[in-house]
Amino acid sequence: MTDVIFGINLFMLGYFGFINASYLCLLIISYFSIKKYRRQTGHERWRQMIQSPLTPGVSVLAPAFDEAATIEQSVRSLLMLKYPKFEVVVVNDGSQDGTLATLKTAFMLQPVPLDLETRLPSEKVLGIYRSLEHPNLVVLDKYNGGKADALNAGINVSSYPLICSTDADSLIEGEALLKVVRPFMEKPETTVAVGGIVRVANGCEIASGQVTKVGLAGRYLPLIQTVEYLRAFLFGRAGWSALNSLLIISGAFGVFRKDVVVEVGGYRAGSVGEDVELVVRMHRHLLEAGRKYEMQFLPDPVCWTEVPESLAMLGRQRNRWQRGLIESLMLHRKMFFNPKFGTIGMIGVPYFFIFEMFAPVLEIAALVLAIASLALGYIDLAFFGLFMTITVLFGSVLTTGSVLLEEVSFRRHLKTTELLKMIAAGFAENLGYRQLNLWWRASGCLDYLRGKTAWGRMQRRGFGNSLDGQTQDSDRF
Amino acid sequence: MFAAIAAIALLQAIVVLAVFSLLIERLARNFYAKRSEARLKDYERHILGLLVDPTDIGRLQQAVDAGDRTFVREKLLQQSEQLKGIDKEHMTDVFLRLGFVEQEIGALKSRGWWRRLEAAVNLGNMASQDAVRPLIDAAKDVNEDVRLAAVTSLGRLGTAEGLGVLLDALEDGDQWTPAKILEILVSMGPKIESEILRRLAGGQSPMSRKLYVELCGHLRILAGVELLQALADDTDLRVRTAVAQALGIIGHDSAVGTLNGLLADKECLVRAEAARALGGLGSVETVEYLQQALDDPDWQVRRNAAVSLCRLGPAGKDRLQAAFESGTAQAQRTVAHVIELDRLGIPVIG
Amino acid sequence: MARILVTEDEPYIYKMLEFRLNTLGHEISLATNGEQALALVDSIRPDLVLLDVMMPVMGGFQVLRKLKEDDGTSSIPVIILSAKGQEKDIVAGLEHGAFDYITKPFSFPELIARIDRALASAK
Repeated sequence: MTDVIFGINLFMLGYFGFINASYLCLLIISYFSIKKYRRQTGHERWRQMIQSPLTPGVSVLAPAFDEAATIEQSVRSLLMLKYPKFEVVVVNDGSQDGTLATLKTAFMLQPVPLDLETRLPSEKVLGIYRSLEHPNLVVLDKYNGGKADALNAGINVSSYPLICSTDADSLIEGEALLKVVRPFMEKPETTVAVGGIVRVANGCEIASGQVTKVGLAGRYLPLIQTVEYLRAFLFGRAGWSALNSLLIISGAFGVFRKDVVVEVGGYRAGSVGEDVELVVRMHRHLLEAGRKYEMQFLPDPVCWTEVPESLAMLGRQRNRWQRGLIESLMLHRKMFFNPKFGTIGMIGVPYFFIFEMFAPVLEIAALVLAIASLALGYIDLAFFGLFMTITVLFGSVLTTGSVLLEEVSFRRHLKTTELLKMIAAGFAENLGYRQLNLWWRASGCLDYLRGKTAWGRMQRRGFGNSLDGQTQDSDRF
Repeated sequence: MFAAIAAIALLQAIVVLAVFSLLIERLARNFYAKRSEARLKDYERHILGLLVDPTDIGRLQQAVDAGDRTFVREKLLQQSEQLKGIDKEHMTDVFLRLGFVEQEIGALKSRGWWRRLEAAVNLGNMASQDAVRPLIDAAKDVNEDVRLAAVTSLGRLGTAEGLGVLLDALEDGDQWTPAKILEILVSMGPKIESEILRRLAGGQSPMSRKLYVELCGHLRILAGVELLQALADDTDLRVRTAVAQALGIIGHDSAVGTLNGLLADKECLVRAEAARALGGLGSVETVEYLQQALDDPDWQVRRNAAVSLCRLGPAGKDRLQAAFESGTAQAQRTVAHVIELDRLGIPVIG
Repeated sequence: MARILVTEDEPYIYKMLEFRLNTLGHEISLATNGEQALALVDSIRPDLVLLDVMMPVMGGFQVLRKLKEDDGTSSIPVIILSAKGQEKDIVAGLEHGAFDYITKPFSFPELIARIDRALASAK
């Protein structure tokens, strides 16, 4: 009996050791790829590109559901993107709070006769509006159908070969669009999707739809999330991208080739995690067709997003992310350890299956088991200590690593105290946040099993005001 | 077991050390920056002063000698970047006199590719003709990023001497580099026309043909219209699309026949581009074809055709009205949309 | 001499403009976005506005339109200083009521000559 329990504990220890070792590998890969990217683009003259007629047009899609409070500001911010040729397509997804009326007065909208191509299925479109003030603003009014459906409708009305998915309440930096389009121009034949980094806007100074000064939130939850996002993007995503196995491109800021998105059937309506699902499906489709393609994550084009500050909202968001992930992986489980799908089938998908999907369940089980074993005397204190070191401290050390990655590369946080605070947050994460996150994700797993796919609703504070708005989506990292 | 603990302890120790060294470095940098702030402000004033008196480089020479080379170079580059004409020439002179051009030419042979890349970019900005030969050599660098930077800088120097290398490097289908230097190529105009025409006639790969077709269009080389027309039945659809686009930009009447032909291409991308291009030609001969294109199965083709008809004035608008009254349902939708936008004075996107 | 309002979100370009135009005796104010620009036009009543069209918050064209709609400010000449240099951009700028259009990169002799001409025309 003792042996069995000791054995299980040892297995768990190995599991966590392996997870941390793979993080470490990712960290190292990311470090080199970010350094290379910095060196390649450090001297790029972004502003000069603004004149060029050779840049492809981009349709920026902004789905909006009940966002009357914030919609004007976020659309104005999108319209100010520094890019030669783009349109902003706002899709009003059956809002009940006067979002459309707000838009109409703010931008002098005029209804125009419907003319769109039904490349993708979507709920019925009620009308198209154009602005007398901004020739590149299109507003689409449709029956409610969820974020994926709204994005599909946006694609139907879009006029340019590239589409950029955004969230109506994330802020994309001015030159970010140019930066993110660069791979599409450098390798026009193979690049199909590029994602930028999403950073936490809480604590930053925001004036009129622009982050004017980067700062850190003082409160525990947003502070931890700042570090969490840095970690997820700078070493998670950058590492996977270097391995050409990027499985997630954030719905808050991702650019896709429209023809490929249409070819794979667009966003999956009713999906909980439509952004992950689309990317996984694109991989699957292109690999099955034997086409050469690239999807990239770039660590520099920034999208700022406001993260939830209340436990309830955060819990719902994480629960939904977990369900979205499971849903996408289960839909495409065929790729799991399937050599036909190359690196993605053999490394990417299995990794997400084992370390993201089952992680919460396994981690909780391991914790309970370890504590129980210690209490019952099956394992000694030394083993328990080792176990805790590996699971807890090592993770923090890696978080510190990602903060350092930021420090050696982009250095958006200028104050030394902020840097120290972020490093401290990496450790403080273990006091409460980590356990809560585990719980939320585990309940996400349970909810998935119970077949719950309804939208988790989320309240946001919105930029520039304190009115509560509700939205059906939030920004995945 | 013990080994595992030891390994973890070691790793953590390394990270802690890294944190500390970075912090110390950061603090040192902040401290140094504070101390030299006044001095750097003074340099910056002198650099701005060059806008009034470009010969007054005494203080900057001192700064360079005192080891503030990098700061002065970066500030000068920043200023030079925004200028053109006589001001730019003055900046080039300053770069030469302070020895920066020579330094960067030397740096083209550095070991680190990123330093070579930086030097290649900087030389383009410094705009000294001394750099042409070294940049031509750098355009054969082993590193792709360096090659493209050298080519871009050659373009910025605006010399016909480097043109061959430059065009060679653009032929692989990358769109980013041409986009960066297109404007400069356009400003070089007549100097490079014959070379582009020669290459247009002998384009081997589809990507190179597409490049020269695009250049021919954006440079509006009238003499290229015939060659472009000959490429209208190219096997590669990207080339045909580019031909339609280029003919539209050049806008010469003789292209009407070819473009009308491309309106019947089997690829919708080509048809859409031809429909768009016809609007720019302003020839009434084409209304018949454009009206037919309003019934095209592809949305973009219909839309571009409607917009083009709208641009053709009364003759075109009559056709639109006719299509609105008696066309297919699809055509009616598109036409209604375009007519209304025209009435409101809002441009159609795309 | 003249009061000139510069709207520019690139700090170094502003520094250059400020330095060079100061030496000619002009008085320079800065707005970094469109909203600020309109507020400053109201408070300082400049003789000339140098306008970047790509700015955060409110684009240059929108500022231009508002300036031209208001009788009190419609006579202030506006020169656009923009990185967008395509024909259609220049045409759009002039159609919106700009007095002149200068593309970046620019040269000071040209800029100064155009500023002088605009100031003379407003008198």
